[in-house]
Amino acid sequence: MSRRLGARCIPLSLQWIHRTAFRFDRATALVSGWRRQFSTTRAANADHRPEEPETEPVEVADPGRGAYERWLQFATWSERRNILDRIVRVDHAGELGARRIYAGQLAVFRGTPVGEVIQHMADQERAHAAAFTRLIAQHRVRPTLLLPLWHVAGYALGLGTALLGKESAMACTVAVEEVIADHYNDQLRTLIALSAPHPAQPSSTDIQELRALIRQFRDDELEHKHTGIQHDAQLAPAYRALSEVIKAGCHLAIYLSERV
Amino acid sequence: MMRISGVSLDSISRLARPETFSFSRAVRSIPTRPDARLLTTAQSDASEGDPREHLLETCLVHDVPHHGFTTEALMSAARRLSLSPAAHALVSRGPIELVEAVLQRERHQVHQRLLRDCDYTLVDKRYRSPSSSSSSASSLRARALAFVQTRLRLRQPYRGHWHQAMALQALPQHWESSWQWLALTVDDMAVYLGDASADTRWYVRRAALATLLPPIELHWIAGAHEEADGGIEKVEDAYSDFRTWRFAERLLGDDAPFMRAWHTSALEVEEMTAGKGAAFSPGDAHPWRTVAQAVARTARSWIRSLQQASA
Repeated sequence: MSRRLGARCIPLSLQWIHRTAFRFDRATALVSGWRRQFSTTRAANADHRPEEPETEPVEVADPGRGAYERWLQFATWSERRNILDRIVRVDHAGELGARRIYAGQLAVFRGTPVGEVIQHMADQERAHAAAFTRLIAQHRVRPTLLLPLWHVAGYALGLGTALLGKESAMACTVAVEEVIADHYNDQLRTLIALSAPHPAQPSSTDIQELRALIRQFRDDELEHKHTGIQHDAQLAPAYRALSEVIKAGCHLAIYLSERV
Repeated sequence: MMRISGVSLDSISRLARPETFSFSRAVRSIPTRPDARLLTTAQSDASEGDPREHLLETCLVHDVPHHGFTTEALMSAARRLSLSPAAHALVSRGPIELVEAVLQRERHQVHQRLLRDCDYTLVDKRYRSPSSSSSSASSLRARALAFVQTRLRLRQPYRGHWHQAMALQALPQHWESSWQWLALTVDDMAVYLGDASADTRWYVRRAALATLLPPIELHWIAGAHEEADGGIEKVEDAYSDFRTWRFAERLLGDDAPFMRAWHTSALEVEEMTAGKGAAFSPGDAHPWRTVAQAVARTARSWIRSLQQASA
């Protein structure tokens, strides 16, 4: 009996391993494509000045410029749908996390002059989060399972940096907003590639709407970053280390929220 | 050009099957059974060219009500279409694809009837509440029952064999797809019940719905056997199937675990920042505590209802 069971299990598990290996392979290819995009994005944004309103990331004649975009040209309808779901899911989680960070900072700075600046940014984040909540319900996207975690972690990050002082709080804002703006730029590039005509997707009005929304939010986030720099973020103790740690945490959060 | 060369792909492939055969003619000549057509009419246009779809369609209409979800049904459908019985291999994953085809057609029909056309013909009169957007327990119950009734009544032709379908779905090699189908159904149902949550409630509500559907299906299957044993005399009784719906109503009662799970409060952001300048949020609004309390409450009520059921 057990021998027969084993004989049945082995091909099944081999099949499973085979399939998983394929999926892993494709995911790795995807990520490496992103990486390549990502390095160019950061170089392009390094000397960005918010006074000159940033336009769309360069729209070249050939939209399939990067590896990821080239892959997108041949993506099936369900793959495209998955990508859009991921975009909405991670942005929803990100905006909620940003709100929590500002809530943690406001718990310390409410009533002070810095508190008013933070309150203004928090109000904008509230509008962003409301927009993505609407999109989640409208397009039937699954919100990430890790929302309670970001809920707590965001508050802890905001509160912790605020307790370290005004400059550290601003350094936290600068690091987070920089990562978010970079990520929005990557998403915009993806959406540009996705708005090319596709047989399974005759109209791209949803994508255009999402694109306009993300473009506007990206500009808001860059404005927040600039506000942070103006309020002496770079004078924070151990500024470089702090910002690198926060950025790494944000990248991890983005990676997880897209998938879980 | 193909004729000049003497051998065309078309003529080769025609050698493989009987000369007079044509899929569309074959299907038109088959007498249809109106009850099973209910599920399959919407798909007939799409299946015009695809032999696999055609085989599935024919099998669902004529053979599954007799042979159940088996390879014999597929072979019989192949024979009906004047194909070799070996043509059942067109459906590569076997009878589970028949089950999935039923679910897919059902999903399509439910979407068309309830969401697009507001067609409540398959729903009992007291559950017809087309314009109820309020989230009160009674309207929620009516909508849930309308959804389940439409689904199960569309599935009526296969009722006597649905236990085979459930057994097939429970096989380990089909866990992935049956889980996906359950998730899809539950998501459809949540949307129909007016769920627009974008937080932990999204998961709580769908989990609650996922615990609701399989017991109702099992009860519905048991009704089919009762019918076969002569426990139910009249056909209308078998169709109206009041015992299943009474059972479903009990699961959807005002203080049933489902209702409490559906109406759990969200982990709202404002809840946490209600402290107004306090460095730490008040303890009773902590999200993990809210989650733990909800889980404990649900578990307690489930244990209580189990105790009541066994007593």
